[in-house]
Amino acid sequence: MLAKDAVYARRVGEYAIEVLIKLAAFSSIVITIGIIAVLMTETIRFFQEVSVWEFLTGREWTPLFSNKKFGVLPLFAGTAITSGIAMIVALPLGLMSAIYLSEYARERVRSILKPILEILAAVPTVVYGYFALQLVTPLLQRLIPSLSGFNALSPGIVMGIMILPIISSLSEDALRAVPHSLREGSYALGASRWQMVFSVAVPAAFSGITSAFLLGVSRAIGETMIVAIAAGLQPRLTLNPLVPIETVTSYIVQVSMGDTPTDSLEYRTIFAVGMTLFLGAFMFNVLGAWLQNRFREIYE
Amino acid sequence: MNDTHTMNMVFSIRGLQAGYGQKSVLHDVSIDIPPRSITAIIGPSGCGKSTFLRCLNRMNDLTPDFYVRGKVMHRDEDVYGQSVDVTHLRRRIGMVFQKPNPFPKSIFDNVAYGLRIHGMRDQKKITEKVHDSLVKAALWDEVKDHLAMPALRLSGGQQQRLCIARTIAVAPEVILFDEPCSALDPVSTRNIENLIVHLKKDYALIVVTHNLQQAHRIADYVGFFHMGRLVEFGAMKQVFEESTHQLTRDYVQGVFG
Repeated sequence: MLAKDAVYARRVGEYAIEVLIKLAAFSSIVITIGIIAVLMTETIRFFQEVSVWEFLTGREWTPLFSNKKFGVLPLFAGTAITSGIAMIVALPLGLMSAIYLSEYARERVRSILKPILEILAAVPTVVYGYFALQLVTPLLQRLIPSLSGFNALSPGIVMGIMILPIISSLSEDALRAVPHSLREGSYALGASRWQMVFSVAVPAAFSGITSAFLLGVSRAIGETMIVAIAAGLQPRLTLNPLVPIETVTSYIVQVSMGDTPTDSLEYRTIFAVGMTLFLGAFMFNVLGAWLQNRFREIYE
Repeated sequence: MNDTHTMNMVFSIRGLQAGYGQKSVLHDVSIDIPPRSITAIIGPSGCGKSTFLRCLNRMNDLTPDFYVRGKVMHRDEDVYGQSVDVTHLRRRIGMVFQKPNPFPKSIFDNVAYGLRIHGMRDQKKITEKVHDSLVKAALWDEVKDHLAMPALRLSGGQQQRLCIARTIAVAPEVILFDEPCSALDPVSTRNIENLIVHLKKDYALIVVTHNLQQAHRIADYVGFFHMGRLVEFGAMKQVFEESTHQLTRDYVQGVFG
């Protein structure tokens, strides 16, 4: 009798745990669907009043002014230019430090350097924002006197520094996953270390490096705090990195923090803009997954 | 042995000691490797035969804490000399590994790889060399119609012949084989063995193997290693059939392995 009760109790326990962890696993799906649903509804309501064509091709973004224009291109340009600058900084530096850590550094140097690099990822982005505004911009102004106090260049560079550890760490993992036998094969033919790295290790790690790059890009286009603080809040259709601009994300901050009434067309702009941002980031993820499959080498 | 001694040896090794950190692997190895012949290095696992092979093209340099003492002469060049350009040395002393390790590139690019890193740019010349090397490695007929195919799609035996072709392409004088057939099926093994025998008219070949039958089939000379020492070195027949060393006799008769 007692033994039977114990078996029963254990079964109930097992079942309860299974339900609990199942709920945890499905909660992320439910939350994702919820977010998309809210974004969709508000976006659809927005596009009932503003045409998609005007939104996507308009060259002016002034929803908060009396003369409202809903052309999202200036915000896209702002995001593109800051992200572009960030990637120009982060990709070569990240790749070079990954190559150094994986192919050149001795184990002891690596065990010191890698954690330090990863600290960069732990710095809160608001700190980076003030770092851009208070330190990097004044420094850059000494080199480029025409640089505005708010601009795309300085937050772009700082964002690149923020993304650096992601690119470096993921690229290093990809490089270290390249089988040692390939390196030996290259050395045995008389390759120098540099030749081995560039003709064997980096191409063999290409899919991993690509996904590191794409993850970096999606971090950059989604980054908010640095650009909200240091890039200015002036939507402007330009690729000039020296003048104030506004990115998609910092516009959302501006409206969310401001006194825009919540059930208004102005307010719904942030959902439309957020939806486009989401679709953009999603595209990069799909592209990354596709590239990774396309170029994955199977080492058996 | 005496007549070969008068010829110019490919390798002349005296008092070679090597190891990793505190662990010594090779003790006082002295050996002369004759040209245009097959030398098999045999011995039980952990006897130092692979370490020995890797001392010859300095592949051990890549291993942390590796040390080496003694003299390794390749022709008249001190392999561990101060002024040696290791990349140049490795080009002349090719190596084929236990597991086929083609690069994740096309068949053509695998063979062209060595040529390109050594500065060959003339496309016509590269194509010609790739063709010649694949012919020499007995792979041309199987791959001539799909040179652009990824090398990783070849079978294991084909991959190993591709690795041999890749090595031949940079025109080495010696080719080191580190258990080249241990990852292959019997048919591929036989193909590689035939190829090795065929190559000895042009190259000195040193083959580390734990397969005694293989050594018996292909070797002209045999070196027997045991616990980091070269127990015996001589003509294949002498080592396998007329050895005066108890250890060698026991090993070739399969008393231990």
